[in-house]
Amino acid sequence: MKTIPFRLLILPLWVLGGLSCQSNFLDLTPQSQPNAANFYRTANDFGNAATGAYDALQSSNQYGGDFNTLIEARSDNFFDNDPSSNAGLRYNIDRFIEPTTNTILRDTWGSLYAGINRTNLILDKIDAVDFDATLKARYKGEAQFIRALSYFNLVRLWGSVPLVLTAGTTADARQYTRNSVADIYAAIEKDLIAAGTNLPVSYTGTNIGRATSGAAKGLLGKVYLTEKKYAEAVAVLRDVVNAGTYKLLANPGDPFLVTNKNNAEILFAVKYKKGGLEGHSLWYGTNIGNNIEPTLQAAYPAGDKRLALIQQVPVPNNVNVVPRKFYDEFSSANDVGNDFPVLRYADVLLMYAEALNEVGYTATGEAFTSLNAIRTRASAPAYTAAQLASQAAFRTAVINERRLELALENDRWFDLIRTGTAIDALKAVNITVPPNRLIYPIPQAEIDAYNNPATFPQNPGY
Amino acid sequence: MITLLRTHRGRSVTWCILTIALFFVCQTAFAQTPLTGTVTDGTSGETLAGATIQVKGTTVGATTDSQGQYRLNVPAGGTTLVFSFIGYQPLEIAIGNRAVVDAKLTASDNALSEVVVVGYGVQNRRDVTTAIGSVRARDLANQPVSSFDQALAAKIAGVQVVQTSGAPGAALSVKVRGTGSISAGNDPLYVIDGIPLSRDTKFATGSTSTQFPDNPINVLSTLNTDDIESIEVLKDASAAAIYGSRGSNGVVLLTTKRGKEGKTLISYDGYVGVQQVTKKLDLLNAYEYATLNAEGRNNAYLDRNPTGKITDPTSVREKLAGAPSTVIPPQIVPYLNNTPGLTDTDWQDAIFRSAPIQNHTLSISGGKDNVRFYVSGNYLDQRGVVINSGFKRYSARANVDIKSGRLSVGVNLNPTYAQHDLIKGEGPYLGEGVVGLALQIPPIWPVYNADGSYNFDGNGWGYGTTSLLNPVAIAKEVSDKLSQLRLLSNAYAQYDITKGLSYRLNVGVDINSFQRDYFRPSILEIRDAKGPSVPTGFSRAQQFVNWLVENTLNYNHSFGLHNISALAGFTAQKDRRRANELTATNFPNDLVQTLNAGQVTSGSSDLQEWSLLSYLGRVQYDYNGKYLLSAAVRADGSSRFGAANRYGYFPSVSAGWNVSQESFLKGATWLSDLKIRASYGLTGNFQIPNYGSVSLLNYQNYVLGAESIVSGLAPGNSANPNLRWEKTAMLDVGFDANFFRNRLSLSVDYYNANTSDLLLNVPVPRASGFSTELQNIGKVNNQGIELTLGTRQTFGKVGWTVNANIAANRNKVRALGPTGDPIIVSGGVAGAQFITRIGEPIGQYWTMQYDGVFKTQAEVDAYPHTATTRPGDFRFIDTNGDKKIDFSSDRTVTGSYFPKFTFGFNTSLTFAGFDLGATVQGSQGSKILNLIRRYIYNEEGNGNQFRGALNRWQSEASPGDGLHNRANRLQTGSNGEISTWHIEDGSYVRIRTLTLGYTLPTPLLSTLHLTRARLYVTAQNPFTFTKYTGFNPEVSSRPDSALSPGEDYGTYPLPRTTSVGVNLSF
Repeated sequence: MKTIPFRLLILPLWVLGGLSCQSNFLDLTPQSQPNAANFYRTANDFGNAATGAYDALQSSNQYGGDFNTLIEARSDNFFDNDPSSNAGLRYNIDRFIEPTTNTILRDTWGSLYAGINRTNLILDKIDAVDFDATLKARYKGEAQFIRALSYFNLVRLWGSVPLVLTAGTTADARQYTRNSVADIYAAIEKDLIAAGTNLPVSYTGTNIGRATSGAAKGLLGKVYLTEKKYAEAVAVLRDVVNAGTYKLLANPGDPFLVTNKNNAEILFAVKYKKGGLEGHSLWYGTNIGNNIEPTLQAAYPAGDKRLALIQQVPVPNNVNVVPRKFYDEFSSANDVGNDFPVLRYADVLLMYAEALNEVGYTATGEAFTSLNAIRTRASAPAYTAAQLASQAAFRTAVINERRLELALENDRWFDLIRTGTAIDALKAVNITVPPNRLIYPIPQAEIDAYNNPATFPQNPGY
Repeated sequence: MITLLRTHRGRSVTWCILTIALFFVCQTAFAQTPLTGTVTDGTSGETLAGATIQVKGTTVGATTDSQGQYRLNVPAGGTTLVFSFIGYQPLEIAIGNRAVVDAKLTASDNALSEVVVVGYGVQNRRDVTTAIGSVRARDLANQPVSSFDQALAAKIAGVQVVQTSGAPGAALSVKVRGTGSISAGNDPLYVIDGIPLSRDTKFATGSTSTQFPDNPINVLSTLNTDDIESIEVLKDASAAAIYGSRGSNGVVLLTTKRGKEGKTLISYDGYVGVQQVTKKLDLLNAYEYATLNAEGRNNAYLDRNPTGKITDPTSVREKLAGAPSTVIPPQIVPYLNNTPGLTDTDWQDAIFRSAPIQNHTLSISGGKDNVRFYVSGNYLDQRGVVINSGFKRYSARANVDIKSGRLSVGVNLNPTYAQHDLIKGEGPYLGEGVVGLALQIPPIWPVYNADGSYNFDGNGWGYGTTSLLNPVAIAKEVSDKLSQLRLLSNAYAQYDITKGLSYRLNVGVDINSFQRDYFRPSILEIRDAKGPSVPTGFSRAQQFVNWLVENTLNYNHSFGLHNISALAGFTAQKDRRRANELTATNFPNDLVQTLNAGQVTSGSSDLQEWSLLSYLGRVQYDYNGKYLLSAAVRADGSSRFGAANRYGYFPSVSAGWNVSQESFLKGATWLSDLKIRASYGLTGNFQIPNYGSVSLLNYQNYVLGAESIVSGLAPGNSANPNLRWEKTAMLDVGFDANFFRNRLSLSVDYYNANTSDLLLNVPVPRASGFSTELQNIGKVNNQGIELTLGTRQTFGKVGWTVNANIAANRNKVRALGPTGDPIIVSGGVAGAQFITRIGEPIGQYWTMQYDGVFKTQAEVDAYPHTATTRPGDFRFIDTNGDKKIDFSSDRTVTGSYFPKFTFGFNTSLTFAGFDLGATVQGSQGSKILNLIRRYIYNEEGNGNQFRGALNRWQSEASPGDGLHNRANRLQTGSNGEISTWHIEDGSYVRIRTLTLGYTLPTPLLSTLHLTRARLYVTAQNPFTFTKYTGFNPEVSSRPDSALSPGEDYGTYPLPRTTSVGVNLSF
C-alpha cells in the first residue's frame, strides 16, 4: 500500500520536470502574424523588408498624396480653393496659415520616419546575416537610397530634424534632438554615394522599378544642387548622362502614360497599381473648378506641348477632373494607378544644365544643349546664346524651364527655396509668405512628445 | 397519511400501500431499536422542524416534523446519531441505551464556524483575516436564472452584479470594488474547482456590428447553478494576491457539490415559469403620432415660408425649400381626419411575448467505503421575451472522490452544450436593433400585409423620413445561431506524506468550442432600398484549449497554542485560441443558408496563445485563535509580459485579532465575537494583448516589374519589452462582530486601492517610426466602504433572517498619459461624449447642459442661443459664459454611470414548513445616457414618440410644460445635440426575487418515501422602482468599455419571471 503512492509521486515530478525543461514555455511568438523578433534572418526576409521600405514612399502621406499639398500647393503652381473641406486642412497649407497642429504635417513627418525606421532596421541587421554578397549589396543600396530620399524630403520641408541612422526604441526616441542641417546633408550624401556603388545599373523582370545606381547618382546631383555644391553636381550628373542608360522619350507626355510605365526616361518612380490594394486616389483631382495657377498656364510659350499636360480633364464616371499628366481611369475598386515620377531624365538634364551654368557660364556647350533638348521636345523654341547672354539669364531660364517641365512633380517649392526666389514667386500669385514659413512648423504632436523647448524647439516664428 | 391515500385512486393506492408496506418490511427486517426525540434550538429552546437525523455509518435517517420530533429505528450496530440542520452546527450524540434522544443544536449563525474556500485551500471563517464574501447553495437556490452570476446580485457588499441585457444567456457585468482598469477589462477572475478560467472566451463570438456591438453571451452560463456548493469572492488584494497577476479585479471561487458519505441521495430540482417584459414604454398611438407628424411638418413649412398657411396643399409646399419634409404624407391624412379603425400597431406587443422557461436538475450523490460521488444532469430551456430569441443548456457533472489510505484522488467532469438563438437586441435602427426599431417605427404601419407578407412601408416611405425596417421581420428572419460546447474538467491526487504535510497535484483542462452561423435572408429589405436584398452570411468558429497543472504542498502544525499552516506551489497554465471565419454573399435565394450556397467573399484564420508559469507560497499563523497572521506571495511569469518584465511578484500580508477571545471581553454576553482585521496586498491584471510587447510585422506590399504586387513586411508597432501587468495595491481594514449570542452580525470594511501601470496607447515621438506605443502609465484610485448587517431571530415558531449590505465606491483617475491630457471618446453617436480626466471618475458624460425650452421670443433674445433657435427650442447652458452656445466649448461633465452606493437586502421568514424569501437590489446615484431619446423623444414625428411628447411647446400661448420642444420635422436650435435632455437618473430599487415555499412535513415525507420535498413559487424581477424611462436602469451598451459606460441605445429588456418549482430528495 505504502509503496504504490510513492511510485505515483513520480507522475507529478515528471510533469514538473517536463515543464521546467521547457525553458521557452513563456517565450511564445505570434503564430498568425510575423514579428520583428524572428525576422531579418534570411535573404528572403531582407527582400521583404526592402519591399516594405518602398511601401512607405507609396503612403498617402508622401508621394501618394500629401506631398502634392506640401510641395506643389505650397508653390506657385497649384492652389487649393476649398477652405471648408476638413476645416481647411489643405487650404491652410496653400495659404501659409497652417497651424502647427495640421494633421498633414504630423502624418507626413510620421510616414517619413516610419520609412526611415524600416531602412534603419535593414541596415542594422543585414551585416549579421550571411548571404549572397551581390544581393546583400543591393538591399543595402535600396535601403540607403530610400533613407536618403526620406531625409532629403524631411530636411527640405522642416530644416533641422532628428537624424536617426539606427533603429532605436521609443525610449531612445525620446532622447533625440534636432540635428544640424549640415549633418543631415552629410548623411544623405554618404547614403547616396554608397547606394551608387551598391545598386545595379538596371534590373530585369519583376525587379524593374527598384532603385538603381543611376537613380542614386541623379538624386545625389539634386542634393548637391540644393547644397550649391555645383562642381560635385556636375560630376555626378555627368556620370548619369554619359552612361546613356536613360533618354528623353519622344513626347513630353510619354513618360507619364499608365500604359508606358518603367520607361527609359524614369530614373525612379514610386509605383502603384490600381485595383484596390496598391492604387491611389486622383492626384490634383478636383470637382470645384480648375486649380492650376493661371500664371503657370501662362508661362508656357505658344505651341508648347507641355501645357496640355497640366490642364485638367474629366475622368470617366467621376465628378473630378485631373491634370492630363496624371490621367488614369478608375478601377472597380475606385482607385487609379499612375506611378509618381520622383526623378526622370528630363530633370537630370535640367539639373546638369543648371550645375554647369553655376560652375561657369559658357555661351555654347552642354548646358545649352541639355536645356534645349527639353525645350525642343516640347516644341518650345530653343534658347540661343543671345537670348541667355549671362549666367544669371541662363539661371532664370533653367529654373523657369524646370517649372514648365516638372510642373506638379513635387519639385517647384524646393526649387524656389534653394534658389531663394520663393517669396517673390508667391508674391506673383498674391500670397505673402512670412520668411519663417519657408520651412514648415515641426508638428505639434512631436513638440508635445518631447516637451522640451531646449533640445527640441519649434521652428522660429511658429 | 390517510388523507393522502384517500386522494389517490384505486391503482395508485394499491401501489402506494405496497410500497409503504415494503418499506416497513424493510425497516422491520433491519430495525432493532425504535427511537424518538425532539430537536430544539440550543439557545431559544424552540423546536426545529425539518432537521435531519442520521444513524452514523448507515443510510438510516429521519427528519423532524413540524413539532421538531422524529422517530426512527436504529439498525443493529448503530451507536451514534448525527443531527444536522441548515444554519446549525452538526451534532453527534451517542445513543447508548436510551429510547429517547433529544438534541439541542447550536446555531452556526453568521457561519463563523463555516469553512471558507480561499485560494488553494480552505479556512475557518473565524480565522479569515481578509475580505471574503461568501454565498452558499441555499442562497442561490430558487432563482429562475440561467447563470449563477445573476443569482449573485445583491448578495455580497461591494460585488456589483449588473444585468445590462435581458437576452437569455447574455453576459452580465460583475465588478468587485469598482473600476480599476481603463483598457484591460474589469471582470473578476473566475475559478471553478481550482481551475482559473480564461477571460478571452468572453469575446469569442464576436459581433454582427462594430459600431453597435452585441452584448456578448455569458460563457459562464455553462455552469449549472444547482451544482454549486458555494461561491466565495476574494475582494481585497490580500486575499486575491495568491492569484497574482489575475487578482486585481477580485476573484470569484466556485466550488461544486461533492458526495457525502452516507445514504445515497437522489434529488430533483426543477421549475417551470413564464417570463414577460418588466415594462413597456408609453408611446403615442397612431392618431397622436399622425398629429405630431403633421404638426412637425407644418412647423417646418412655416419656418421656411413664414407667409404660408398650414392649409397650403402639397402642390404649393413641394415647390418650396424644405420639401419633401414639409409635405403632409397622404398615409397620415386619414388619421388626421380621425377615420376610425385604422392600423394602430403596438410594435412593442409585436416583438415581445410571454416566454416559457424551464429548468430541471437531477442529481445523485452519496458515498461509501472511501468512494464519494456527485452526479447530475441539467436541462435548461429559456425562451426570450423578444420573439425568436432563446437559450438552451444541456449539461452534466460527475464529481468523484476516492480515498485509499494516504492517497486521495478525484475527478470533476462537466460537459455542457449551450445553444443561443440570438437576435439583435442592442443598438438603434442603424444597427438593426430590434427593440430600438420597435420603439421608433410609426404605429401607422402594420406588421404584415393583407397577404401575410411582412410590411416594409416604413422603409423608403419618402417625405424626408428615416427608413425603418420592420423589427418583427428582422427578429424572425435573421438567423443567428451560436453554440458553445464546453468541457471543463480536472483531476487531482493528494497524498498525505506525514502528519500535517500533504502534496496535491491538480490537472485541469477547459475546452471551449464556439460556432456562430449568421444569415440575413433576401426577404429582408435593406434600409433605403426597396425589394428583396442580397443575402449575406458568416460562419465563425473559435476553439479555446486551456490547460493547467498545479503542484501544491500543504503543511499544518500545532505546537502548544501556536498553529501554523503553510502552502507552497508551482503551477503552469497555457491557453490556445484558434479562430476561423468566412463571410459570404450573393446567395441565390434563402433556401440554403449555409455558406456553401453563397459566394465566399472573405475568410480569416487566427491562432494565438498565452502561457503563465507561477510559484506561490503562503503562511498562516495564529496564536490560540486570538492573534492571526497571514502572508502570501505569488510570482507570475507570462508570455504576455515583455522580455524585460517576464515575472511579476505579488506579495500580501494580513492580520487579525479576535478581540472577543481576550479575557477582558470574555464576560460580555452582548458580544459573541469580534474580530478586527487589516490587510495589504499587491495584485495584477494580466489582460494585456497576447503579443502586445512584440513588434508585429504588417504586410506592406509594393508594386514592381510589370505591375506585379510584391509582398513586403514592415513593423506595425514598436516592441515594448517593458510591457507588463497593471498592478493594484489595496489596503483593507475591517471588523466582523456578532452580538447577542450570534443573533446579530455586523461586518464593516474600508478599502483603498491604487491601480497603477494602467495600459494606455501613449503617443511617442514619431521620429521613432511609430505614433503610439502600448505602455504602462496611468493610475486610478478606488476607495470605498462596505457594510453587511445580518440577523437571525425566532419568534415562537417563526424564524426570520436578514442579510443586508451596502457599499459605496469612489473612483478617481490619478494619472493618464505623459501629458495628462483627458481621454475623450464618443459613444453611439459622435456627440455622445465621455471624458476621463485626472481627479475625476473614469468615463463621465461630457455633454451640453439642457435647461428646458425657450417659451417666448423674449426668452430667446435674453439668453445665448444657436443661430437657428426659435421659441420652443432647447435652451442650452452657456457653461463657459462667453455669451455663445458652442457645442464643443460649452460641454461639461453631466454625470457618471457609477452609482454613489449600491445595496442588497435578503430576508427570509419561516413558519411551520412555509418559507418566504425576498431579495432586493438597489443602486443610487448613477446616470444613464439614454440615446434612444434621440429618436423617440425629439418631436420630429419621424419615428414614434414617448407619450410625454404631448406636453410639447406649440405656441407662446400654449408652451406645454416648458420641457418639451416644438414639433418640427426639420429641427431648429440643434435640439438633437446630446445634452442632459438625454441623461437620466439611473437609480433604482429592484425586488429581485420573491419566493414562497412549503416544505412537506416528515410524516408525509416518510409516506412518500422522500427525504425532503419542497414546493415553491418565485417571482423574479417582479417590481422595479426607478425614474428611468427606458427598459432597464442597469443598461450599458458597451459593458466592457470602461471609457464609455452607461449608454442605452436600444436594449433587450429584462424579463419578469413567475415560476413554480419543486425540490425533491429521495
